[in-house]
Amino acid sequence: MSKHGKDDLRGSLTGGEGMKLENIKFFRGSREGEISRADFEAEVRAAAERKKSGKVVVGNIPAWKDKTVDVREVVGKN
Amino acid sequence: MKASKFIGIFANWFELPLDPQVHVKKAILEHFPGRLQIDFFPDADLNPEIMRGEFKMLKIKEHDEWHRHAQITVSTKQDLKWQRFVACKEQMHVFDAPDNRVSSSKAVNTLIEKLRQSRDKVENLESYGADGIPAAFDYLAEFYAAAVMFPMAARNLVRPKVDAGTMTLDEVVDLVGIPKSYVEDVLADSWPHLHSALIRL
Repeated sequence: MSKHGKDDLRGSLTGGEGMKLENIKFFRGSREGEISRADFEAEVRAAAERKKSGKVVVGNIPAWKDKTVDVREVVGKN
Repeated sequence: MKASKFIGIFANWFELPLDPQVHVKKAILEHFPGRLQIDFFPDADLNPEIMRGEFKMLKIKEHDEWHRHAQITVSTKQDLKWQRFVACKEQMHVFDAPDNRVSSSKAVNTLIEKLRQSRDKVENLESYGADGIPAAFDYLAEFYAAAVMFPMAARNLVRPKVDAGTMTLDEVVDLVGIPKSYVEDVLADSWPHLHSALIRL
């Protein structure tokens, strides 16, 4: 990949004026074997673009359970 | 605070399931030195075969003051247990030491180069080399997340029940709400040793 292409990737990750990218990390996907550089970069760029365009916005993932339980009580019943 | 210290906060936690967007976020905000905002971005188009999630820390200047904004992106194309685990793992990077942070073009490209390798290579920390430390911590953060979401105190109560056959692995997974593979890691004989090592890092 050209230096220009790599810089574009870094550029797509910043938040804009008045913002600095301090750190970025990824959770590698489940694909077995190697993931192509093109596929990985495309996913990174597309994710950034969806946030910038407002297609992906701040939200919550669903809760696993409505209430928590005390494990001490759970094991007492088993 | 380091992630290694942070997992100690949850070591004696008994209330399950932990919610990464409530319990973990609250604890991070209480222990992070400085002004920090954490937001989650559920992304229905992010391909979890390539990338399950992303952590991004931005420094933002407002009125001549800098504050930090952590953006956690989670693919919602994956099972809820995975979404919860990713949301926790990515938050662990709030505590990344300066040496482990990735921000330059070169570092971003090196990180991608390491992570895009096959999973068995990603899991072989000895193969990372000197430039692979941030990628190694990207992988290690999975263990920190497992330690947070399935606290040691809870694990020590559940493990004898599993051994005795009065509690199944699936029941434990339902209790904890993270992928089975990480539940198995925490229930393993080797976990107390690994947990101690993680706290010392």
